[in-house]
Amino acid sequence: MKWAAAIVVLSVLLYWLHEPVYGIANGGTWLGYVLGGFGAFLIVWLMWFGIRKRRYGGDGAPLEDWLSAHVYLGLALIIIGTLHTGFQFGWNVHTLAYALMIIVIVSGVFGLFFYLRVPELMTNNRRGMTLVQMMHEISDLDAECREAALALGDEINQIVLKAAQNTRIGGGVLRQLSAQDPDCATRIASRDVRHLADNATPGQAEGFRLLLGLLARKEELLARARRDVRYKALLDIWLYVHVPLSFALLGALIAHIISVFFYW
Amino acid sequence: MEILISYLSRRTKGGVSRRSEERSVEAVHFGRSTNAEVYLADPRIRYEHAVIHQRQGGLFIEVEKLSDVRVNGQPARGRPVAVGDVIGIGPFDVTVVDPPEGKDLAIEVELVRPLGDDYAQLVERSTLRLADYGLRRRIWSWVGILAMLAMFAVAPIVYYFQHVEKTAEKTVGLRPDIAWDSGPISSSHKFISDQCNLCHQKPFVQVEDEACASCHEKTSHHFDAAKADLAAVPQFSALAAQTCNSCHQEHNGDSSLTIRKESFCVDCHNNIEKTSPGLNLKNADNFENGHPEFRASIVTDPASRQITRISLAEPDMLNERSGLKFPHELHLKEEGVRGPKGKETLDCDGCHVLTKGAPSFNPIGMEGACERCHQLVFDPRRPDRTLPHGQVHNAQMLIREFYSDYGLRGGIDDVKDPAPDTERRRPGELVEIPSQRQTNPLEWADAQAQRVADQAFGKTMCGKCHEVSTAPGTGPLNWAVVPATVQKNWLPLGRFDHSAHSDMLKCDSCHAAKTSKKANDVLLPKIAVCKDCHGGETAKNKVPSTCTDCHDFHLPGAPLMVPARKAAQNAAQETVSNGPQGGPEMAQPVTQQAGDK
Repeated sequence: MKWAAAIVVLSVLLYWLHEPVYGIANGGTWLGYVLGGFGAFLIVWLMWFGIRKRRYGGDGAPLEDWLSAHVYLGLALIIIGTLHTGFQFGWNVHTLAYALMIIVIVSGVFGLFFYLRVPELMTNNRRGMTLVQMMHEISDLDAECREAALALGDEINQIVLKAAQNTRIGGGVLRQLSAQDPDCATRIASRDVRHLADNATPGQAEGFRLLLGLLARKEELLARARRDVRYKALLDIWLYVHVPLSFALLGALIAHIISVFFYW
Repeated sequence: MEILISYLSRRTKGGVSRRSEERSVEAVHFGRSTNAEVYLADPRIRYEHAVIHQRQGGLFIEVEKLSDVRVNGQPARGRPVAVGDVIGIGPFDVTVVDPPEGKDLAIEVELVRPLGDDYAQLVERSTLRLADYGLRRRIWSWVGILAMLAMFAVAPIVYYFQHVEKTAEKTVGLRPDIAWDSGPISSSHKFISDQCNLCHQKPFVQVEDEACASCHEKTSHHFDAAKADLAAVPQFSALAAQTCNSCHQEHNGDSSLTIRKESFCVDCHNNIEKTSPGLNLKNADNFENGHPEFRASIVTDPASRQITRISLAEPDMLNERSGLKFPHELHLKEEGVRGPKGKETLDCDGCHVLTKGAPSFNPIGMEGACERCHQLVFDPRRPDRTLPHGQVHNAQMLIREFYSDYGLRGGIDDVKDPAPDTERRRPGELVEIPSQRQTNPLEWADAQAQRVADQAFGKTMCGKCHEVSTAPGTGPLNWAVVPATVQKNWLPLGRFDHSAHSDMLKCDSCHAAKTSKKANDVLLPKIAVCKDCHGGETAKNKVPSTCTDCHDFHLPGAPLMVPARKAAQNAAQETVSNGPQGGPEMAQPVTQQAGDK
């Protein structure tokens, strides 16, 4: 962090003091080349983290230090990259590379935020259970529901069977992230059973009560399981932006450097 | 009806367990009802699912409404049942077997399609990780990097080698290297903006000066870098080594093609008296605080056309010797001056006319400015005869010839007498010539010519405005006129646009012409007058003005920019190998053409 702060301060100071002779700042001044070269080196070094983190017990600094440096130097790159542009933007590969860099860093900030916030939420949500345990319990509840429904009408049995057979956890990206299933079979079943219970005979009341209790418990478990999936997805989703766009950035960066010197 | 019901269940290790019961019933009901003879505990079974009756002619199955029953795989609602039939009731298979002795019906009931493992099914239905949804970071990473390289690196390079390198033709439509364009071209270069290789001639080589010089061939340098005493000064050799694009950066729109930064000039000029004393330049810095007083380039000797730069801060030295006598004060009197049609008031722009399309004035000449009032009529009897302006010899000859002719034709008289052609001679009579006229016509004419010339050259005409001299042999009538040497521009190294100021300021806001009694006065305003409105580059409450607002970097008279740089490089290399050498004289920025009047 100290390094990152020092680099940022140094860059800003240099930019402040630097007066381009043509009155316009951009990547083509000596400071522009210095900032650009250093920024490009930083991008490659930051991407190296993806390789370094897979080398368990690698030599050198511990992974925690690498991660810390990755975060702080990545944030410092916003300043370095922006100063390198000299605040000149356009519809070209140069600004494209800059935009990709900013998106990658911002996605990294999201990732950082998720990793700081989500694990605690996840622990609270699980209440000592794992997702597998939750799903086992949900399955057990399905069996109990069927059991409870046997004594009730055919319609109820159909409903309960559907609730067991069609309920799913997670799904597409949005389902996983929202922790919501608008078509949740269990919720629909619960609603339908409650509706039918209004017309239940006194003899069936106990059966309905039991069934509704089971369904409510299952809904609660489902909600928790879906939240768990959501939290896992949150820990993952930013990487789908961060990593592929990092590589796109690397490509754009190479194209940017080639183009600048090709048409020097 | 006597029946035998066998419930079969398969063990996990293989083998079948069988639980049988014998019943005596009216009919065999299948369903979830506890009253059913065959109780099938499965949610897929209806409360009352189906029933087998014994009728005349055998057994018959009836299926309850909405129930799902298949007999030997065929959906059935009601049909006879025989031994060997397999009746599918929901997930159960009911096989009709040979009844033992004394039984009407024997069936085997087996759950063949169990609900299965709830957990396994739930896991199968659920998608718990983004990675399971088909998102692949690695694939998209490859797509990203390859797409970027293909679109923005490979395509433009391929395009370059296929098209751009071979032809300088203008290309129309979308070209891949458009993404490389780092910013808008300046307006003055927009007409070649679609021909990248006019400037970017070689890949990975910075734009070379020759590319610029292919159009800007006449751009001159700031000084003569080949001059030996300049080459030794580090600032000069550093500046001489600069390329065009050290100062001129394209692709920044119109904002910075030309350097406007004060520091660019001041870096050298704030100490130039010390570094290059031979250049006769003053140290210059910020316009408001560090600019020296203007130095007017004035004519100090009209005969030799000697021009000297003299600071406006030295009024005693400011004495322009243009060879003219012209009191501005007299001409600009508020009560007016005598004109050809009576009194009239003169204005500055009566003589000083702004050149259309240029920031300067038309040259002032006798013709146009003075002649209207100052007519060169030398004999009042002949107002149509005038002396030719600017032709001293011809003018004197004209006077002499005029009076010779006059005398020879009998016009010898006092100049106040009527003209000779008024005395007509009658045929056959002699004209009586008065005695005073009976002189030698040549003597009379010469005396008359000299008298008129002395008057015209000495006082009334030439000498009124010009420095004149008289001496034997200086002309046909011994008169000579010092040629007028009017400085067209007192500050030739600066640019000043009169038209940009004239809509707001009056002439006498800056020029003290109304009180000037002599033509020798240099009617320039001091720098303080400019500073009333103009400040330095960073001025907050004045017009921010930098060096280039008034001064050019590329000075007329200096060697050409591009050859000059090459020569300097060659000279530097030679200096390294051969030691210092003399070079051609530096172009003096002071040099300019004086008006020839």
